[in-house]
Amino acid sequence: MNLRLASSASCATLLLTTLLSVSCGDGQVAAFGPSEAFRVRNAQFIEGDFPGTAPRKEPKKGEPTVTALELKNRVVYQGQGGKSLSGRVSTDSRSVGIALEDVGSGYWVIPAGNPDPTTNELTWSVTADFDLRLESGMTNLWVVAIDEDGHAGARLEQQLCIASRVPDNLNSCVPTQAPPQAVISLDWSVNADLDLQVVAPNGKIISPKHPTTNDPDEPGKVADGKIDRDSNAGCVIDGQRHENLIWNADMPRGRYKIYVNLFDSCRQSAVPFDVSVYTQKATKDGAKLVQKLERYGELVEAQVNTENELGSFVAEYRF
Amino acid sequence: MFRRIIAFSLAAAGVQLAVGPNAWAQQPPLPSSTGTVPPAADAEISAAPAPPSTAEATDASAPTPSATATQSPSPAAAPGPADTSSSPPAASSSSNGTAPASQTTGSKSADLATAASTQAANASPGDPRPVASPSAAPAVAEAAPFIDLGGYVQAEYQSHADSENQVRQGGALLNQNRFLIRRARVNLKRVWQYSSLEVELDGNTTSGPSIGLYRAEASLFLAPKQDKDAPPYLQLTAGMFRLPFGFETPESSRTRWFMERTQTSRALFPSEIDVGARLSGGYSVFRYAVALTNGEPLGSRGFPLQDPNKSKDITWRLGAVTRPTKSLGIDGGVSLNTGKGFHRGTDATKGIVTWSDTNEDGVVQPAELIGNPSTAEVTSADFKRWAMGADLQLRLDTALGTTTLLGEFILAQNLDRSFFPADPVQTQLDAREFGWHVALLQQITRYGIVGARIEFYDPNADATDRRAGKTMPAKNTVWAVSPMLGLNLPDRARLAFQYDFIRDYLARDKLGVPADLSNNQWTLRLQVNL
Repeated sequence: MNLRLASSASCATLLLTTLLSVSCGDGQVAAFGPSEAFRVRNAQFIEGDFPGTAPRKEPKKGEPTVTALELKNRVVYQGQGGKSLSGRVSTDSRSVGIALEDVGSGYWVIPAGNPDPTTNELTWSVTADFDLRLESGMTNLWVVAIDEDGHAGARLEQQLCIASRVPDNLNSCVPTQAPPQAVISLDWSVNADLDLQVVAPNGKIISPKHPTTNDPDEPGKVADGKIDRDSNAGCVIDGQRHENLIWNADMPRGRYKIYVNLFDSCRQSAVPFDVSVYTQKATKDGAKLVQKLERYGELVEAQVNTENELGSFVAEYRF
Repeated sequence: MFRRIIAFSLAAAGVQLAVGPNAWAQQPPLPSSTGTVPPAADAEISAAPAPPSTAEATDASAPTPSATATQSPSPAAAPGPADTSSSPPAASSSSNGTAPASQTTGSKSADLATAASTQAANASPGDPRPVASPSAAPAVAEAAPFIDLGGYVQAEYQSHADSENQVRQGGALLNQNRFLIRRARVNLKRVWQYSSLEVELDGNTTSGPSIGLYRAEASLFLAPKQDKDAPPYLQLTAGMFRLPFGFETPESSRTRWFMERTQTSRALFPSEIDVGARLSGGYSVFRYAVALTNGEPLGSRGFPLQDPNKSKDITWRLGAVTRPTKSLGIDGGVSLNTGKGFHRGTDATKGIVTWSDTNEDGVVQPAELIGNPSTAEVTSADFKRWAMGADLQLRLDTALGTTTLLGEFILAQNLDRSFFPADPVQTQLDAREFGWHVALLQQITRYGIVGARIEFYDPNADATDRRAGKTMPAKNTVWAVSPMLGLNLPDRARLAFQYDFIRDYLARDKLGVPADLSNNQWTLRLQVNL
């Protein structure tokens, strides 16, 4: 009996030792970084400060270096997905770290790729997503090369303009650029076909079906106000979920009634939405858009309205 | 009370129902004048030999052999309510596979040894569990026309280190810290002299509420008449059944103390269940089973329980169940699976125009419109796959309780269907898989158990990674160490806690080198048996 107990104890001890040797700690942080406002597809998210030193004009010898960064343009929109970033790093690099300045709780890493046939430097390429939560305005994209010892070189900084989801003619990045005179903006959060409807002071209904403020009584005159899109039209999901009525200039003064119409719920039981009114305000640099009104609401499936009628009244605003 | 109502309802319909060791003890014997079929009237039943002993069958038939006999409402066997506490040791052996027999009712060490010995002697190749209760067969048969009703519920809380309050692209939840019904199973079974029928339903909330057919077995068998404890010489089963591969696949989730099968087993066999035909049986200490199945187990990603190609998978296991001494049991076997996997082709497409925002300005420009001509259908293709394995189980009865040591290894090629699904048609390279595990369980009296399992799985021995322009060998291996602690209310309920330390290469470190992902997890589970 003692022998049996002893053998059981030996087995248990052996297994326990193996257990302890394998089971200390837990590895890297979360795999996807899905809560980050700036995300890089198929890259590893690592929590912590961005590695590397401040940018240098001349690369330091023996230090891994980002030798090239290629962007198709330097403007990204809030909520834009699939932006391509690529470039090259020095041959002593093993990986590339990428982040937006002061955004999120860490940075993204990808292994350095194949050598460039011309320069022999190592190439890299990623696809990045920019969340709606990113603040509009200028920011810096940081890229750094990391060598096989884990040492990071000087980071490369590239300015990016995060353009506002509310059309502002890039005023948030270039304050001297004049924003529209006024914008009425509708946003919603589920994939349904929701329409912004505005009744102008002259009684004309502006909606995605009749997207301009043209007055039928003045057929020759082209009015400035225009709805920019019919999002999720016919339940063809485009992922935008926002519509804007924009006046760049010549906005007729008066009272505007704002409605929201649920044209098709697209199988959603409820559609929460948010209507905002922005107007131009003068600043020392020129002008900027300022939010004057914000209303929240929700439409349910029973309120689907495919008739040529106005939807639910939300607010009235006097410009 | 509810079960009693069911029993009487079914009795009125001409069916008798056994729903557990204590069920009949609460009921008076059913008089033959009620219109039910009297047991003795079914000559086939009264002469029934040992039943087929699939893993779940013996698990789910809660009434134990002799206990059923003593509890039987049959006038000959049980003139009145039975006293389950007087069940002989062999009758109390239906509890579980990996757990020692002493968890069962009315046990002492000597009794346990006898029970385990009986159980071990009757385990079939398709059911490597040593403590299955084949001796239930004659008792069930003699007890006449019962439909055995069994089942259990496993409700649990899981916590995963990699949970996030987000939804993955496509809608899958990234949060896994949750309560869930992992399994809610109901099992119906009836055994005649040469045949048996078994149906099991499964409900769970793993991916939202679902319920469906889990097992459906129709069996014919030929069993030895002299030794009612022996397994059938020959048993032909058709339907949905557990694949006879290794130790874990045929093992019932009801009896396994560890929360889930190992990663190796789950990767190669996404579910234990496939549809087909199986031949199994045993003679002396030897056991055999061979199954011909569609090769698309329940839960596989492609065509679960269907068959996209004409070839069938063959799975077999040869094993032995031995009892060298009164307190020591040694069982083992070798297994093989061969078949053909399926690489699904693609449908033909019409020509379409797409927009590629090449300058990323969000504005459609003529140069950004791309014509995509129609494409031809890409034909499907088959590929060969196989697996072989060996398993060994040792059980030692001590004063403390039964010690169980289990081990299994599997070599396979192109068989991973869940973790890193193999597709050599696409990769032009066979995926070589290898996995093993060792588990130790120590019973602490009838009411407690501690254990640990260490497992290893390599889904592709030839995996490579591309870094800095160089292709280099890479590891996709997974190690897991799982200590477990359990409390046991014999035959009725279990409360178990398991922590899984997982070491893998699913993340990358800041050098871009594959590294361990933070994905340890723990589970607290309550199981109650019907």
